[in-house]
Amino acid sequence: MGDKKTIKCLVWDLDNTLWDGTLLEGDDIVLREGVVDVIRELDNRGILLSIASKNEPEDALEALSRFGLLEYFLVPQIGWGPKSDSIAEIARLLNIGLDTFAFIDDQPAERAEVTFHHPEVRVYDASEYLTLPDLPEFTPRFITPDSKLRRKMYQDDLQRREVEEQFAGNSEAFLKSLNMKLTLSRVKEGDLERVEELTLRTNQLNSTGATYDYEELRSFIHSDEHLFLIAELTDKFGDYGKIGLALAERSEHALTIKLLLMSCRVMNRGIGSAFLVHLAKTAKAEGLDLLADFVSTGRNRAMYITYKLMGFEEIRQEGNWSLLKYSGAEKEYPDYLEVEVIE
Amino acid sequence: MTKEKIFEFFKAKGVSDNLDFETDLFKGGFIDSLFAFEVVVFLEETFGVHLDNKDITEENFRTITSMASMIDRIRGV
Repeated sequence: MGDKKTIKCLVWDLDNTLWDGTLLEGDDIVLREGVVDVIRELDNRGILLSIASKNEPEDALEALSRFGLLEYFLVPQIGWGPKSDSIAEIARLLNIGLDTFAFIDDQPAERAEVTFHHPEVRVYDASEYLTLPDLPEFTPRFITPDSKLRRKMYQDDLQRREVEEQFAGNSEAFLKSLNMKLTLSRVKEGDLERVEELTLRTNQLNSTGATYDYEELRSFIHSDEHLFLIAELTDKFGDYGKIGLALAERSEHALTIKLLLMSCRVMNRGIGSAFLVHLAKTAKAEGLDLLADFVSTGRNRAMYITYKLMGFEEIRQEGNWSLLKYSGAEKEYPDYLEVEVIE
Repeated sequence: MTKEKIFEFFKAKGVSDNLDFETDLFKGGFIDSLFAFEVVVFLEETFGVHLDNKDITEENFRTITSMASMIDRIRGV
């Protein structure tokens, strides 16, 4: 998809970008005309917003809160370091790739500094702010209920992470404390937009990188040869939404996983294991072998490792494609995860 | 040394109170799904090796001892 990838996070400068005037110089700052509409519109589309500003943190946060805009911005970086560092920090905290970041600032030098360190970040001059919602890179193909909730989900996640840090690296105890509930159910018509969105947005935790058009996806729902499952996760902090997908194809002797993917937000939550355990049980019940396609995209090695360490062996390999076969003994769901399967 | 370093990694992850070199890491559900990726990245970065696809097997990752033998084999120690 290259540079056509849609933007997942837009980072704003404040002085003379979000508002007119310079806070530190005691100006009477005024929001730029129409900027609130732009913020609300992008937020509604599921594009995350953050801040990289050289300012006194307290003053800037106070101003944002006075304008009623503070809640829209995740992990604002306000201080005196280079903005390239601020953006890298935002990417780390939100766990999304810099190639899906955009940055808007009125200062050419700041934009150049960010471009120098992160050429993949798309930069915009502050004068362009009103046109952003019209640009294709700010226009996701679908606006689903999940996209509208995205900011809230990331906020929940940041809270989770704070708690996780208190567990001092004890991942198992932390996972147990989350009271996670995973629901695996068949994809329904109403899920299709979210399904397509997941296939387009998920790069690292994606076993083949295959994309399907809406009609193809729709046909899998009604096909007896296909098992098409969607995963939904909740925990005590809130709802992660629909975060994973598995597509498997039945043939005479085998059930073959054509696509297995999950959102990066649920990395290290055992979702991949749960899917594979369920598919292994299904294949066994139907007397079929469980096979899986893996296509290396250069970014999805985590999925190859997941398959191999969950009991799959590579039985064929050609170019960047591998065929894996499940050989292992029966496995159970991770014990920190309550799994409900809706047939 | 290899063994001790790997042991420290798992200990720091808090995977088990009575972890030893021979603990079956799959049985305890310690290595699952994406934690496995973290383990691979840890081994590669700590020991300066690259694990090939053929190295990524349940047998090589089952215990701290088996991981250490794999690493030592790759490094030709």
